[in-house]
Amino acid sequence: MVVSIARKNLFAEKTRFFVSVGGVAFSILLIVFLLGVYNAFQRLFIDYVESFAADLVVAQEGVTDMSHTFSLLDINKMSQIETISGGSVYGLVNRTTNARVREEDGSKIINFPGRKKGENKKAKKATINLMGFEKESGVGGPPIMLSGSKTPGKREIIVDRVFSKQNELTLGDSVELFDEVFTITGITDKNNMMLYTRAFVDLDEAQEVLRQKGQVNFILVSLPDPSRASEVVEKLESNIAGITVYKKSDFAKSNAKALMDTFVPIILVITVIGFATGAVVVGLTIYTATMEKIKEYGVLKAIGSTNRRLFFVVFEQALWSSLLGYILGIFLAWLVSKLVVDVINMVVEFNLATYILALGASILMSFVATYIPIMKIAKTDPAMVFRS
Amino acid sequence: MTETILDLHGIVKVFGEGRTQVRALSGVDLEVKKGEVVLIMGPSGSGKTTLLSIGGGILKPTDGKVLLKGRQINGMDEELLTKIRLSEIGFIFQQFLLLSALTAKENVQVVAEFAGDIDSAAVKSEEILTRLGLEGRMNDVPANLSGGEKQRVAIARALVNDPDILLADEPTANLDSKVGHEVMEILREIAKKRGKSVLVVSHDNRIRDIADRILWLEDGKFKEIGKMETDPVCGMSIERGANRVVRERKEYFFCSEGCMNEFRKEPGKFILTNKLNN
Ligand SMILES: Nc1ncnc2c1ncn2[C@@H]1O[C@H](COP(=O)(O)OP(=O)(O)O)[C@@H](O)[C@H]1O
Ligand SMILES: [Mg+2]
Repeated sequence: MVVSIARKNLFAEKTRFFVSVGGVAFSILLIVFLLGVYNAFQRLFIDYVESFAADLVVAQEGVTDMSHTFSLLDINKMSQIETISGGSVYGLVNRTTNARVREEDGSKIINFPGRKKGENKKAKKATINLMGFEKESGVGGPPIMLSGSKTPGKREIIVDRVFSKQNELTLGDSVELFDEVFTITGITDKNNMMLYTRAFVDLDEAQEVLRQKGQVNFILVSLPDPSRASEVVEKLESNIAGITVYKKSDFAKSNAKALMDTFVPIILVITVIGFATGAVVVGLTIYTATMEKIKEYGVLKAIGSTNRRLFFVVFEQALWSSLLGYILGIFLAWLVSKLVVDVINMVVEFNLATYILALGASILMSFVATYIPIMKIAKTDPAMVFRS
Repeated sequence: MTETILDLHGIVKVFGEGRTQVRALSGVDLEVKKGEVVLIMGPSGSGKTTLLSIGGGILKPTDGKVLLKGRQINGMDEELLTKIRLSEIGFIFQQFLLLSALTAKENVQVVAEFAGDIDSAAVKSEEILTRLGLEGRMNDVPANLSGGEKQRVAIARALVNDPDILLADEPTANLDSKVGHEVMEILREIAKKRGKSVLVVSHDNRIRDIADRILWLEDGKFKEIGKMETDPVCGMSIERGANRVVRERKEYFFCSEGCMNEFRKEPGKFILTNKLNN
C-alpha cells in the first residue's frame, strides 16, 4: 500500500475536508437539479408530439412549434393532403386560453340552467393549452390516462393530474371555457407544463367553443409507408401553398428547442454560478491547506521530490473533495427531487448525460482549485527548509 | 586511498545585489571522505547552513564546484539533481521537518516510494526504525513523539534510500544535551558501521567529540582546520590514539587493532598507495 500524502492530509483536517466536500456537493446539487428540470421539461414537449399515431405534422407556413408561433389551416387542406400523401389525416386544434376553475367565492363551478356564464370576473382561473383531437382515432389525444375515459364527448374535458390536484377538481367536476361549462371525464398525466396545463377535448367541441369551425391548427398525417416520409414532405410542400410539413420527430425537437432556447441562458448562468461556487470552495480549502503545509512541500522538494509529484498530491486532495462532493451532490439532488417534486409539482429527470456532465464539472473544479496552490509550490525554494 | 564522497572547491556564495549584497561564503574548500564524520562549527551567520545547502545541491554556488562522488552537481539539470538528492543524499534538519499528517513509519516509507521502491518501502522503513530503537513508535504521528524520537525518524528518512552522505544542519539544536549526544552517536555509528559520510554543521560545542574532523567556519572562510589522522589501511579519519605505529620516523594511526596488524604485516603496500594518492 503506497502512502498517500494527499489522503493523509485530507483526513488530518476533517472539518476543512467536509467543508470542501459540502461545497462541491451543493454546487453539484444545483447543477444536476437544474439540468434535471431542464431535461424533464424538454421531455414534456417531445413526448407529447412523439405520442402522435402519425408520421407527419402539417402546420401553417413558417410555424415552428405549438407554443411560440400560431398555426391556422383551412380544413379543405385536409383532403388535399390526404390525396397527395395517400395516408390518413387528422385535424388538431391547439389554443392557449384561460379556463375558470372556481367561482369567486371559491366554490366549484356547477352547471345549471340560468347560470350567468362569463360574468364572474374575479373567479379563479388557470391557463390551459386546449387540444382538440379526433376522439374516434385518438390521434393527438392524451398519451397517458390515469382515470376516466379517453374519448371526451359533448362538453367533456380531460385534464392533467397536477391541474386536478392543484384545483381540487376531479372526475365529475367542471371548468368553464369560453362561457361553456365542461365536465371533467378523464385525468391524464405528464401534461403539466408549469406555465400552463394541457387539456383535451373533442375536435368538434374545440372548434365550436373557439369559434373556428372549418379551421384546424395542425394536420397530422399517418403514412402507409413511413419510410417515404421525406419524399412526401417535399411533395406536400411543393403542391400545397401556405404549409410547412415536418416529420413528427423533427417537429418534436423543434417544439422542445423553441421553448428551451428561452431557458438555456438562465440555466447556463445558474450552472456557471453553481460551478464557480464549488470551485471557489474547493479552491480556498485546498489553498489554505497547501499554504499551511508549504514548509512540508519545501522539505519534500529538498529531499528530492519532483514538482510534478507534489502537484499531484495537491490535485489528489482536490479530486477527492470533488468526487466525494459529486457523489453527495447526486444523492442530494435525488433526495430533493423526491421531496420537492411532489410538493411543487415540478418534473425532474436525471439521465446519464446529466451525471456525466456533472462529473466532468466536478473534475474540472479540482483542476481549477489546484491551479494557484500548484503555482505556490512551484515557486517554493527548497532552500527555505534550512531557514527557521 | 579512501573515496572522496563530497568535494567542494572554491565555493563562493553571494546573496543579493548592490548595497544589500551578502557574501556568505568566500572561497571554501572541503572534502568529505567515505565513512567520515565532519563537523563544521562557527558562529551564527558564518555561512554554515549556506555551505551545507550548496553541498546538498539545494542551493547553487555563485562560484566554485560541487562534486558528489566525482560528478559535478552544480549546474546540473534540475530534474537529475532532484533525483540525486533523493537517492544519494540524506538530509537532517534542526526542526526535524517531518510530515505532520503521516506516522513515523509513513514518513520514512513515502521517501522510499518517491525513489520508486514501492514493494519493499514499508518493510525497509520498519527495519530502519527498529534499528534506531523506534519499533514501538511506528504508528505515532510526529506530534506524539519526543524531540529525540522525531530526529531519529528524520534520520531513518534520510537513510531509507541508502545515500552516500548525510547532511545535517544543527541536528541537536532543538534537543537537550543528552538526547543531542545520543543522536550524534547514532550518526557516528552510521558512518562507521555502514560507511556513510556525515557532514554536520552546528554551533553546538557539546557534540564536538563525536566528529572525526572539526572545521571552523567564520566570515565565510575556514579559519583553522583541526588536524585528524587517516588510517592508511581502511582510510577512516581518526583521532590520534592508542593504535599507533612509527615507521621511517613517521607516525601512523589506526581505527582498530585489526587495521594496525594488517599494516604491520605489509607496511610498504599502504605507504606506497598513500604516496600515489597524494
Ligand atoms: N537567502 C538568503 N538571502 C540573503 N542572505 C542570506 C540568505 N541565506 C543566508 N544569508 C546570509 O548569509 C550569511 C550566512 O548565513 P547562514 O549560512 O544561514 O549562516 P549560519 O548557518 O552559519 O548561521 C548570513 O549573513 C545570512 O544573513
Ligand atoms: Mg544555520
